Amino acid sequence: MNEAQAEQAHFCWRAVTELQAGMVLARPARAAHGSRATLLIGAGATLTESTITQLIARGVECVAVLEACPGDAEWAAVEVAYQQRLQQIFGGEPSDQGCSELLAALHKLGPCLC
Amino acid sequence: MLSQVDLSQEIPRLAAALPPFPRVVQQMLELLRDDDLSIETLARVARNDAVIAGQILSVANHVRRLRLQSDLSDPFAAASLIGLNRVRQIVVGAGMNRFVQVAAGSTPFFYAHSLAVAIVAQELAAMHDLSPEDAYIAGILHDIGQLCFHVLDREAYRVVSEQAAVDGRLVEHERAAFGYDHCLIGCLLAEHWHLPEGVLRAIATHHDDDAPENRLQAVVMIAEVLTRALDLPESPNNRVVRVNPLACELLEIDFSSPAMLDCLGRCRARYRHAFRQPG
Repeated sequence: MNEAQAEQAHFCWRAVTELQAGMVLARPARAAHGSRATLLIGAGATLTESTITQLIARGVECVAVLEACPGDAEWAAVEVAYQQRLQQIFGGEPSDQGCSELLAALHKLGPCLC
Repeated sequence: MLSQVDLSQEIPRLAAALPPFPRVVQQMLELLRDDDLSIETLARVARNDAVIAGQILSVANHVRRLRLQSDLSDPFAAASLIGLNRVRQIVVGAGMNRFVQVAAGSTPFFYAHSLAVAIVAQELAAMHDLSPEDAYIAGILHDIGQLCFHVLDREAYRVVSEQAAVDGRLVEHERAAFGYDHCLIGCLLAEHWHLPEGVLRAIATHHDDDAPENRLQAVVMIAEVLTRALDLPESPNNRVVRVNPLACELLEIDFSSPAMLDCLGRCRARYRHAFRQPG
């Protein structure tokens, strides 16, 4: 799987201590010390014991890994509940510009099934 | 009702009513001012705290098991395996989490909210090249002043909390009932614990509508809003009615950018994982 394909696939964010060898990164994993990048592993890379050790040692907290797609019915129910909850939190259509932008971002982010 | 001068004199008594501030975190903050901080020095500090030493061993042994190696029992060897950055994260995370969890006592929502703001603040700090330790500490302590109101007058603060749940005007109700708000009292407590100036200012201003003076203040302001927006922790009281545009401007935040969406995803995952962790 190449980097572009990995970034389009279904994924979950996982804490580094939940990772297992064989999992595939869905987003690049980066570590930095100040403004200096100390580690960069591209999306589509398959994790090994060595890369997991490096992620832990460089202070990376969590990474996105590919997951099997949930079933349509399960996904639809979660999506409806998520949209309803956002309505409650933002009180409908916000008048504040920052709230509108944040709400649009949360719609784009979608619910989490992980 | 206490004046601000009276309040300053009350701070040592209020601090004494809370659990002792974690010495291991204070020692680490002092060590971080030294550019030559070594893993050996930090491991020596950490090994004196059983919970922190246990977490260092736990992470190191996770790595050892991935390699089909036997577990370690020596915190020095464990710290060397997982490295300075991870040990710093464990010292701050485990030390501060335990302090706030014990201080929160019978108010588990307080701990859950403080933890969520700490995680989001740290993720935002990482995007903006700010100290992750300062961001985590400012985030987890941002509401610590509220616990002092329980010490001063639990019943009066219950009334304040109920009023705020209806209209969202917490700091105004606190000032009316006590003469000051939890932002000021939290700032004075942080000063009492000799925390960095940036942390004090972030705690003092996290409810301000004004322009933040620096990026750490902006980070804590935005982190508070994002935890409500992400429903971390879930609460019927989570509402988002305003996002400080000056804080967004200072951090150059574009909520819909791929980097920000990934940041929000990491925040959700880290929060969920934090509650699966022992201790």
